[in-house]
Amino acid sequence: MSAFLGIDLGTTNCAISYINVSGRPEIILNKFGDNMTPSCLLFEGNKVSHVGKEARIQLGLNDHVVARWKREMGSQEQYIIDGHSHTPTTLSSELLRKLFKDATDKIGDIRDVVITVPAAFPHDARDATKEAAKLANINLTRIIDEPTAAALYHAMDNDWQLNGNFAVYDLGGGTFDISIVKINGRDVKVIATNGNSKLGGDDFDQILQEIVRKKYLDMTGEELEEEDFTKTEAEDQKKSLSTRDVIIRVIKSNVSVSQEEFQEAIRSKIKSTETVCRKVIKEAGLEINDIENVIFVGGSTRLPSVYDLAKKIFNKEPIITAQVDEAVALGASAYAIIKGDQSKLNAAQKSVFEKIKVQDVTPAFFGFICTALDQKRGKDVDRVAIIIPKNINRPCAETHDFYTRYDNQTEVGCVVTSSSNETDDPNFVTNIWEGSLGPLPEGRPKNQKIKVTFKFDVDGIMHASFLDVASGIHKDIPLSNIEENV
Amino acid sequence: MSKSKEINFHKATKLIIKISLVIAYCDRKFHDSESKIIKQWIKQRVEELGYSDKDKKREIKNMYDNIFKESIQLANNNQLRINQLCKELRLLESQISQIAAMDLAVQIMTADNIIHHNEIFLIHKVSNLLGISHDEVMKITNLEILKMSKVPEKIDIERLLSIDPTVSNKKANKWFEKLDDTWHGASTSTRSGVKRKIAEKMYDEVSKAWEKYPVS
Repeated sequence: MSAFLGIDLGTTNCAISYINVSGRPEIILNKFGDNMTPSCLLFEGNKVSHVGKEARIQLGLNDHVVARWKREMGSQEQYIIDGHSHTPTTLSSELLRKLFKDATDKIGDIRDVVITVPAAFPHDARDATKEAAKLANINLTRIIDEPTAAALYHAMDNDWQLNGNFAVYDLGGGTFDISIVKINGRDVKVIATNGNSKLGGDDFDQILQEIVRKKYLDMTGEELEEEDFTKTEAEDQKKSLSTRDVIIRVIKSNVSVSQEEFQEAIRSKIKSTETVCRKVIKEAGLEINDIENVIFVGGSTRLPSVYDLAKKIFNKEPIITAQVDEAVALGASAYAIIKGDQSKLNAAQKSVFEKIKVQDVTPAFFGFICTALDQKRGKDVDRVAIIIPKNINRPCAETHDFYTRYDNQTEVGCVVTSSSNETDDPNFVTNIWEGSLGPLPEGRPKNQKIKVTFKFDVDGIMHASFLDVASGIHKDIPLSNIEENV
Repeated sequence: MSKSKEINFHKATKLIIKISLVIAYCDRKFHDSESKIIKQWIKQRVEELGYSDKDKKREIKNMYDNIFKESIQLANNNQLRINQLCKELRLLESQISQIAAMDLAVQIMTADNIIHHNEIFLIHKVSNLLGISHDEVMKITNLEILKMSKVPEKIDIERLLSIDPTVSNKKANKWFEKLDDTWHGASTSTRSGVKRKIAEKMYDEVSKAWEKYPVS
């Protein structure tokens, strides 16, 4: 049997799932029998010697252990471990290789793979994730936004019988995402997505480390080293702090931290998610009252202050399932079937997936850089003209007309941009493709019409095309590495 | 450009240079980074007149350079008066010159990658005197912060927004909302590197500062 795989490649933990014979997504336990594998690698020389739990135990104690690189995905950050240099992309590929091996050991041949990314992941971080899959020899079908995967899982799950608009509040180890989805039976449509790719459990662990360091200093007059109270210890103690006060043994002293004190320390971080929630509801064109309920996803939603905040924002008791940690991976494997090759499905699997529909939307604002008169400054400046907005249904195509600026202009510069919010300032976007259209015929006056078309095809691949109308000269570019998800 | 227009253009140049020097001298020192920006601006300003004749350009450039030198003297002797300068600039009735003054002033503020309290105070003062909206000033300021070559270590968001006890909670919240949106967007829209680091820092600082202003 060839399987469909979903991988939740998290900042602190990963989970993998597949679609079982009866058509249900199921978590694949790792070789220790755990449903999650910590995103930690222990190196010996250039080789990974331990992944997950064994590496996590030594985090902060052994400088051959690396963790929490997901936030740097897409950057040029270098990690020097045991004399060898790694990038966030190569580290992710090492982790993926191991997860993929666990999966093939358990279930054999794998056909389609979907990896999840935070909804707030910038363009380069998404590209880096795809590159990591390639380096790990994984045949990636799609990537999907984490809250969308979670929404898909909850829509599939008959127990919940969801109907209407839902907010998926996903606060994980490193990132915060919020999606507004419309669930109608087994149809899932994403209406709007937003988030903060630098907010999650990892920040709370650091805050707890700081509290303990400061208290220890006050008590003993001595500074704590990282190895005296590691991030791993902080993470474990933080989990306890969701239900009780803790006394932490550090070297030979007891440091006590109360629940109240900790929740107060992380308050501003938690509070910042409220702004993002209100913004995404606005982007969706909805009011708070239009939201049926909020679905919790991600380990950090166990924090009491998150519960209180969500309840306050949405005026409802949040939906908390047993799959808070697993929903993303479970939804991803379902998506692997929806977007993958369904010819090998058995009857049971077919009957489940026939009924499920996902409406894809565009992941960002895509624009074209043109020159326009800035009236306030009395001169021409570069401006981003949005061609395809964020969150519109796919497939789609949009065309805008532009005009040449000079007599005898034989070339037109073409720059395709991407941004998560609507802005016309080229400084606030990322250029995802730069090139030109030409050579165009000589001797023509200015104001020749140039048509710029952006398109998302049924396979999720974006194309940009540029056409000089009078001469018929055109250029079509498949921006294949922008292949996106819901 | 007509003769009378050109005369006004030169007048505006003189005033804009002087205004920028007031900002530059607010810490009683004139930094190389600030001087470089004004010199660069003068070069561009000469180009904007649209002369193709090299001698003519050189002549104007020399005139502007002399204005610059004289103005430094005045600034050194504490003889530049911001209220008077802005008033004179307003009398020229050119929105373009007013925005140009604002642009240069903000560039001077961010020149050394540190935003001093005095500088931001003066920026808002200049904008008030020139009748430039809060929105416009913040737009210019955000752009120049993003263009800095280093992540600012500390930034006082309340001062950046010019929030003081006279500003209502409602208004403050509106300003915060806009600023938050700009930097939240920039933190995921810009390419990784200094720009993104600046955006992340700003977004974080805005979130922290905003907390003190509960939405009623």
